[in-house]
Amino acid sequence: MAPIEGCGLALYSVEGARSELDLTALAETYSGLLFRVAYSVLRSRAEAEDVAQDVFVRILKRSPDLLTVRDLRVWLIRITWNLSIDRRRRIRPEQIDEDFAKSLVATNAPADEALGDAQRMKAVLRELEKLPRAERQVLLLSTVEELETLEVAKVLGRSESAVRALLFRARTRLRERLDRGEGK
Amino acid sequence: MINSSEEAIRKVLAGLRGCDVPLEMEQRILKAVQDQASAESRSGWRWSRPLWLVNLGAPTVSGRLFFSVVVTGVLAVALTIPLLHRAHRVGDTASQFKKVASRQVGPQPLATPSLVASSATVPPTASDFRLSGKKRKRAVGVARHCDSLALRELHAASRPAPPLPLTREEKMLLRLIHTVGPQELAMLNSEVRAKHEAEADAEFQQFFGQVMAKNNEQN
Repeated sequence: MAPIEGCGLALYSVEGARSELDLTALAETYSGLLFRVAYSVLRSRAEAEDVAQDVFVRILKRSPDLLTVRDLRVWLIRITWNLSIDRRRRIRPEQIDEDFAKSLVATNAPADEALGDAQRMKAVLRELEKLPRAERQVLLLSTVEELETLEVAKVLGRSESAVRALLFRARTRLRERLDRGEGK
Repeated sequence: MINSSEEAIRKVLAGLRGCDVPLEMEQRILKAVQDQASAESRSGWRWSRPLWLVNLGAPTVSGRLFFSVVVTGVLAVALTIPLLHRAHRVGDTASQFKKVASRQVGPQPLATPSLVASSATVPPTASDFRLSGKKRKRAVGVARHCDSLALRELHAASRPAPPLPLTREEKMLLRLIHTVGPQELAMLNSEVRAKHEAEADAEFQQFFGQVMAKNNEQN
């Protein structure tokens, strides 16, 4: 998706409110990206949509601050990320992860196979949550297709090479832990 | 069927990546934002203002100018009145304080009966009568508080004086008591000492007197 500067942003007021930004254009440009960022953390469509909505409400409230924001895209992703983490603390993530794991299993597979696959997926999600914070953040943000390594680095306030190293370490650690868990 | 952990990881990450955006999410988001904006504007100050104030703040040049002049005037009056009031009150308090201070010269706690009597019988000055009723009551209250403090000190029970420090001789005596035996202590008594010396002399004479008498006899 193109950044905000690229979509010919027309300045007008929404419903006579104090917002100077075109929220329609903002929503068209960023809602999908923000939804996917939230989904990578929450793994629930409804919750992720709520977070995306919440982000835009916050934009409305803090519209004067937006004029001072240098990189709007990164700023929005950061807000979404933080709101998603807050929301994940409030909800019951175990139940959501279970539903997500079930949704990944092939529907035409035999019942015992499906059960085994779902267990494996749940184990992956469980170990994913146990990863060191920086590694987990990088791994989850890398699942958002629209985000390049440079942008992930900007969101997390790290260098590009650090992000690559963290991503490699995260995958390696996750694999090792899962193998160890299966060995037991 | 998933055979390795790597495959499971890949599948989970692909599941996170492949999530589709819900249909008409943008419309729902925009509707929520618009609802929020309208709710805020309804609950804001704009709607609680009286109509004439809303008209004053109308976005015409003359209206804005008039509105700003009125607001400035109201603010100026609102700020000036309390300041004047406070300045007047500070002046009164200072004069009252001076009066009370002039009556209480010197350290207050050392209140002698004469002082107490004099402070209790200070007649109200002419300026006291010039004070308004409330202020006069306050000044009289301060004076009464001082008098009651002095009277309380006057009637308080006297305490015994603290013990004086020991003299040089007393200190020496104490040291002697703690260092020498009872015989030496008895020697301090002049009668006992004289008696003891007389006995020693008599003993000496008795012994050496006999020896000297024998020597004389042999010679």
